[in-house]
Amino acid sequence: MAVSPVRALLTAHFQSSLARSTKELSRQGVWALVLLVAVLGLFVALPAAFGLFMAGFAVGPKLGTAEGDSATPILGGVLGLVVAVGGILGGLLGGAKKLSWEQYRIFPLHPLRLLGAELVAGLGDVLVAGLALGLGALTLGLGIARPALLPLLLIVLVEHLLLILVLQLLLGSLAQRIAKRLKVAVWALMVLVWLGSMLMGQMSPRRGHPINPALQQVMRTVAEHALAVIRALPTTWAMDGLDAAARGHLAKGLLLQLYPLGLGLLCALGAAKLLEREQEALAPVAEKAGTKEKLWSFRTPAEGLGRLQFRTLMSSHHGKFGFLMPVVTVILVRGPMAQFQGQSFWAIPGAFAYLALFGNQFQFNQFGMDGHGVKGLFLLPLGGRQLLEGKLRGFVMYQGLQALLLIALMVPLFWPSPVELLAALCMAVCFFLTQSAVGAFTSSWMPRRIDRTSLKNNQMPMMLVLVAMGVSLLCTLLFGGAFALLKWQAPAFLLPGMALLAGLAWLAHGAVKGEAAAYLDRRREVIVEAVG
Amino acid sequence: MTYEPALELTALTKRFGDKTAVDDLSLSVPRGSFLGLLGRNGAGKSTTLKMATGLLRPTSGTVRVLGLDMAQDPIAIKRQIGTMPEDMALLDMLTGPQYLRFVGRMYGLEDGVIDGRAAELFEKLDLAPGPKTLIADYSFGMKKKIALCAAILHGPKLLFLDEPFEGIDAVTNRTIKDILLSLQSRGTTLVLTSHILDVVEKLCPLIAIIDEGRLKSYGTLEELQMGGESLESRFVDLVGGTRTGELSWL
Repeated sequence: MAVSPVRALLTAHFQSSLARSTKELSRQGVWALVLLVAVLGLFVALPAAFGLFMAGFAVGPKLGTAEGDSATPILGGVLGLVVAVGGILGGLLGGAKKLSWEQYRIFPLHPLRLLGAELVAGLGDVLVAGLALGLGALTLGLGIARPALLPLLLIVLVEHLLLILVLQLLLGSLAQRIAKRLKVAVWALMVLVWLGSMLMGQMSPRRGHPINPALQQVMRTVAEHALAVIRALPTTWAMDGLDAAARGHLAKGLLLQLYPLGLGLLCALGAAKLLEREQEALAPVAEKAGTKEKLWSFRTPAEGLGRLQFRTLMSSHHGKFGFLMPVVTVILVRGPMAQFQGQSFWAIPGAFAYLALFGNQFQFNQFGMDGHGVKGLFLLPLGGRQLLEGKLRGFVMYQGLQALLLIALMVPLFWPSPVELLAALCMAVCFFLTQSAVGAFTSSWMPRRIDRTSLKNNQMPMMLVLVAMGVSLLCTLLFGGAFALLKWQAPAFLLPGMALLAGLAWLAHGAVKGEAAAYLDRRREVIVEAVG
Repeated sequence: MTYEPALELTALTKRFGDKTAVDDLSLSVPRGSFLGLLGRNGAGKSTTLKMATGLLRPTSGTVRVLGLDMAQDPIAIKRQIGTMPEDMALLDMLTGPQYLRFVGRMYGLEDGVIDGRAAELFEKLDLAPGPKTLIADYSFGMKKKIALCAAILHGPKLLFLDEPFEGIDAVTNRTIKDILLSLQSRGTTLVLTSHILDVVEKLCPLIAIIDEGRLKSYGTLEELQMGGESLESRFVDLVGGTRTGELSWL
């Protein structure tokens, strides 16, 4: 029986994804994943889907009535948010571009067919699959409440899924381009966001303080504009169409679907063009004439390896985006979390603890970014100890820069004392050394290739995610707790206490270094196979 | 003085799960010789080379390089050998000169020495990348050339080359051959894998044929060609390949 090319593509994609996951996760990893999915499904996905089903069931009877006038913008706004969040997160974090276009382009396939397969494959992403389940439940709820609308509801479901998938594809490609070409834009964005967070901090009402009338007026105007924007959203038009159909105007209901459906298809065409161009841009770059480059020189192999690691991190998309983390941290602390009490105790340690989380994906997979080059590194006359020391130096430079940026952003917002800052730095050192010590083992235990030129499909294996979460939690409780406790109970001992902890962490790091190096030497073959 | 071969593989075996990639392979390569390791795709040539260079651990058997045991002294061995893997294993976020500086320093060479040797190699191999062109943006042939430069930069006593002539043009092919022959004439031992019989026949006085992980034949070219058989016929006889190339639907 002949199989359509799109189906053949999807089958090949499914088979290779399954084989890759099984190989990477190993037996215990598969069980851990099954357990996690079962827990999440039972306690998160199913209750959420049930909630959405009930919401649809409750809203359904209101469609086509006077109450429907106010229900449609709300539904449209919520669905717009779902589409936007799903598309943005999916695009930036890994949902987009599931298929290997580079390989499949050699087949006699029209790009639109490839795009169709790509969109279907995108449904396999956890986030999109979850959103699809939620949208399906909402639609089902609406359909049971208003059975006459079921055919139209199916169209609405398809157009929303299309919008999510296309948006994530477009944003994935755009993020790639931004990371590739616009370093300046990233820095500018950081400055803007930081300034915005400062202003937000000034404007946001504090507990117990009434909102002043001028601010109330500004907020009212903003709300009016926001409502106008919501009414113009394709998702709101889709809901308006349902409302019209419920009132008996089926033709109007169908016409109103043309906007979301047409927009989805238009964006799909744009995405196909963009992906095609992306492939063409993969051709080798023409050589440019210019000044002679500066060559490195270093005294010890570890120093050279450190510079190499730092350069690798700084030239990777993940590494570049890592410098947004200090800004995100400051926004979180200054914005949504500003409402929590006792900020003077937890803000500084919390910020450093949160920043340290980003280092997990590099520290717990230290050879991931070396790619084929890992084979080259292992062919050099270097022992495990030198390799790990080199990696450590690279991470010191990279994470040290991140920490300095965080300090620079926090000083004008919190005005911490020098003692507090130094104590916080000691805490960051504790975090870093613990990460590095555990990471030296996990990097050999469960290595995985990290694509330097993409922000996508670089997630850690599930087992490693669990280990990283455990280590982060332990560090936060131990070091963050010590910081807060010392500041609260014995402020005079804050700096000496944290310095002592940093010293102990350094000793512990040194104590396990030899064992980590020996483990690395035993696992070189596994690393080469996984990364090289 | 005791005779110490440059490379000595004894009962070397490598298994990946149920699959045996190299099976009880023993081989001794004298110093200063040029060995061509011949075999079909998947015969176990690259796996053998990876074990000989310390990238893979043998399941059983021993590897001795220049009188040292790979399991005991991997770092001392790596200081004296050069390797060009099939996929080149380059640090492609560096430019060519930066990469050679990095590799040279790892072997303890001075900056001046590295730069002098690199300039000579670049000239001989007609390698002229743009000043800031990353290796990632090199053509395939240029990558092969820079990988060869890195493998010989420190003057190794034993050089391993995995499919060095794959995917390069005729002129570069000729230059690389000349460089390899000049290395041999200065006493360097060379081990080269290839499935191109022509290359091995013209370059390597010593030939080993591997099939399904086992050593099928080992000796000089003359010994293999005894009875007037061509190397190709002898090779096909040993590995049991098919002789007809007709397809039923064409």
